[in-house]
Amino acid sequence: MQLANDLPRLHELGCDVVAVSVDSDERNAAMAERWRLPFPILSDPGGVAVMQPLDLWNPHERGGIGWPAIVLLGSDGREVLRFRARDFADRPASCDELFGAVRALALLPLHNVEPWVPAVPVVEDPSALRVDAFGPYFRGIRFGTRGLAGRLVDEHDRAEAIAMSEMAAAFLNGWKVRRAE
Amino acid sequence: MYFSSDNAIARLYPAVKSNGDSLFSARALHPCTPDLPQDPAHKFGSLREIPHFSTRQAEAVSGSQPRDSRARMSDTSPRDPGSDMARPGSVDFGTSLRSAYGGAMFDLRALRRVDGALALVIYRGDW
Repeated sequence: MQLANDLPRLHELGCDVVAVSVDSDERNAAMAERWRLPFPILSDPGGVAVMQPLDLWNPHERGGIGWPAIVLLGSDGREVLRFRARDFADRPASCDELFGAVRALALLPLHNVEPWVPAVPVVEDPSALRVDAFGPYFRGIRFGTRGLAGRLVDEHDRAEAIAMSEMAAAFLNGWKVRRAE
Repeated sequence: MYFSSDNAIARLYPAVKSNGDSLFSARALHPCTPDLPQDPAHKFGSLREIPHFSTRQAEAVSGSQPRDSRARMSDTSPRDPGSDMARPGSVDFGTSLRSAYGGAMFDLRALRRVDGALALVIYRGDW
């Protein structure tokens, strides 16, 4: 969602965004529509084409699914930066480091990049987080983890709780921006 | 709901159409291997100071999920060049993935021939 909001800035820096998931085209189209994602979402069933070769495949969950990840590829195709989640709920609270790495590549802006336009029927995943549940869900995470952080004694654990709270806050802000566009 | 059948990718990556015959190897994907030229971008996040523990290494050692709990945005630390196990396989960029472009296929070679950089996002259906 943050990347969706940041897409124009990334284009200015010469970087585009493509997503990959194990889901079908139809479910990807539903996700794009649900969260107003302006970049392509490709289908990689079983992770055989992209996720497994990139070592971003978690065979232990749901019969196999990708680790949430961001891999920055330079214009020569080489990997420049990688974020890989530690679990299903782990996301970067900020894309600052990604932006820093893209800036360091010193690329020319990408012009006239047209938004992604899915062309298949939308088929909703009944287990997907609903739009109307998004706010309560992440507010719960934000306040719950903030409260937990106040109780934890171990410094590392407290930092983890705070990081989760910040991530939830970033998602809430990100969705606020998406909805407004 | 149906959307237009325009294939935006083809417009994004016109070079793919004319020049995309090479495969994209693991070596190309992981520039930290010793015989590759150093890139200033690799300085980010003190990459070389973070002990890397690849998924497959972790599975081999613990039989469970990886424990590289500090692997965050900066996880481009070198795969152990002496260990094949630590090196991921090759992405066959000669293949295509289905996309939601009304049956249009996304040519993975586009990921190599992109004019600029590309942030490849691994998504899950969660959120």
